[in-house]
Amino acid sequence: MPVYYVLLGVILILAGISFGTLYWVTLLQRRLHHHAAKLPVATPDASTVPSAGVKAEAHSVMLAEELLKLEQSTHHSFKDALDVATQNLSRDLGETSTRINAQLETEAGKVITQKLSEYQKALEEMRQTAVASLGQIQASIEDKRQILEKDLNADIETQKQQLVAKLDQNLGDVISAYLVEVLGNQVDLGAQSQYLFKTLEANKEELKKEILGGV
Amino acid sequence: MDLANLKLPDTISTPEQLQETIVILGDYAAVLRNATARTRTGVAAADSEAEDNLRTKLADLFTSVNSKSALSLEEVEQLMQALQDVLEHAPVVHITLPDLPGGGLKQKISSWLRLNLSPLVLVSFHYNRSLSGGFAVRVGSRLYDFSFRSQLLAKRDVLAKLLKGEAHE
Repeated sequence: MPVYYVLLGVILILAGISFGTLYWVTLLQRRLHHHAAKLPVATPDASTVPSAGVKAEAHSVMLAEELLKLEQSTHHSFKDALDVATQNLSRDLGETSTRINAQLETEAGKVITQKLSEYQKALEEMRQTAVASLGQIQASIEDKRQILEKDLNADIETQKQQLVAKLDQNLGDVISAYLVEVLGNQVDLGAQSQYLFKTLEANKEELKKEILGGV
Repeated sequence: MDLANLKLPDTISTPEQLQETIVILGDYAAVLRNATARTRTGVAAADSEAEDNLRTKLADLFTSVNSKSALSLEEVEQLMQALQDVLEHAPVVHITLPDLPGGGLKQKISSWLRLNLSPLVLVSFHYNRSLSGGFAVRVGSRLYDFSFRSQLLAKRDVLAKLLKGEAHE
């Protein structure tokens, strides 16, 4: 990239010099034409002896002609030089342009390659991050699923136990009611006396405590 | 006569029986007073049949009190007072059965209670057909339900286990 700037600077400098020279020559040419137009044209006369003034005028005319020739020569030389410079400039510009294009292509290629590489790297990182996040999400979902399954099984088991207990209770109630109903009208105190004295013996201390507490 | 260690016979187990005994003692005391008065005034002794009947009724009581078959008027009056104190202050155990027990079972129950709980405890028997089986005991304000129905209801979970074959009793 610095090379590009240097070449561009050189080209600009050469162009500036060329255009400046061209402008200066053009300016000189205009002045010369202007000055030549002011001078009268002297025609030689054999019958007359040139005076001093006429000699000066002739000298001026000769000088103007010389200047004109010089101008034309200079113009041609400048034109040739300008053509040469223009050709050289064109060639240099072409070469420089070619080199600049090549350099641009190279640099652009480098930049594109670098950016592409960075893009691919960023894509890869994003892909890995997405994969890792997806894995975490899947793991989290699996954990939640296991917890929910465990809680659900526990709830089901609890409800089952509650239902079994309720069934047992209701079954006990049914059997108790049946036995009470069956025993209802068949009372034999003699047969129950053994149970009576056995129960009194088992609760003797408590009854004694109650009696002594009340006495 | 040792009234401090008074023991009631098994024939006097309920408050009603004790009350009746006190009344009979009163009648006996009146007979003894009449006999004493006749003796003092020289009037011929009255028919002693009534006195014998009363003495017969009170024989168990007299025997349990002083091992004698008869008591003097003073002893009878002391005994009456003691029995009145027992009636007013002795603990009463209320037993409810599915049916009213016979005399023998009543005596057995009162004997057991006096032997194991208190020598002067009185027993009051009640019956309630709805008990179906077992009995209930009330002492003071405390009720002990030993009926079959309450036992079944308290162990209905055991019944369920028995049906499932899980319990061993």
